[in-house]
Amino acid sequence: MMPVRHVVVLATALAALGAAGCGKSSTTTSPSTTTSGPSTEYFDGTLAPAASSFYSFTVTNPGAVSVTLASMATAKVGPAASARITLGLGTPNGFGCTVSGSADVNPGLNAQLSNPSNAAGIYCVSVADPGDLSTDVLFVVRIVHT
Amino acid sequence: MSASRLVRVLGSVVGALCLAACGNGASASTTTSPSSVPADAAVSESFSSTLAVGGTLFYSFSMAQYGNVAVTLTGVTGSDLPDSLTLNVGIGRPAGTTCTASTTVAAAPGDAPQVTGSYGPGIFCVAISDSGLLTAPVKVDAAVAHS
Repeated sequence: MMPVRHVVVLATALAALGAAGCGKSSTTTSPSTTTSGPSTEYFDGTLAPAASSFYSFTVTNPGAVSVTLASMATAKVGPAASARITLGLGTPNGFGCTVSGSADVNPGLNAQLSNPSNAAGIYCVSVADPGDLSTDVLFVVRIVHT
Repeated sequence: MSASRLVRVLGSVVGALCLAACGNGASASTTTSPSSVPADAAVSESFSSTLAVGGTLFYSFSMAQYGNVAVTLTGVTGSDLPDSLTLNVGIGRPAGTTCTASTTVAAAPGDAPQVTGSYGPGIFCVAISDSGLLTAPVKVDAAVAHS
């Protein structure tokens, strides 16, 4: 015959095991979110006077987007062009890129356009002659996004 | 009641309580699938442009929700058009300096949609390109219906 004290201990242990088991099975885990580092894309080409061009890219995770006109020259080997071009950030629409922010810029090392909180989706960067160009220029735009 | 019988009874009660609680937990974690019924195409956009020999043009459009898309190549005009002219018409996503089509067909101009599918939400594009039959630039007229 088992002493009553042992019965109480056993019952308590069973209840604790049951609670632990239930607690474990009802615990929900959030889906893991894998965050990777920012991606860098380069948009390069030739911009003619009075012309424009755009480049589409996909933001996979919500986050910052920065756009830098990294270089602009009239030839692959030679001095940098001194003219400014209009850099824009927006979304593809119709035959073009509808910009939500833009700036007339010279090439530089730091981002001339940025948006700290872009939602996931497709965006575009546009380059256009603001009226400064007198000849074709070669350009490189660096786009960093999440 | 003997102590051993009491242990068995208590064990059964705890087990039953656990099953009930776990059952509730399971039902609480039930997930519902998103609707898979595409919305009807309620918006129609028409566009036209010049297509060069060997060239590609694309037109971007935005879809607010998952829905049907229908693209119609309505007309191709130009000089020296070859008989049975077809152009490649596709639906895809803007990427880089072009439109990466996920579906493409060789289509002759007509009144009925030549390319259809379900997409969205998001930004998509229609790509139209020379299939190798053009000998001179042509004017292309097309329309895209989407949700």
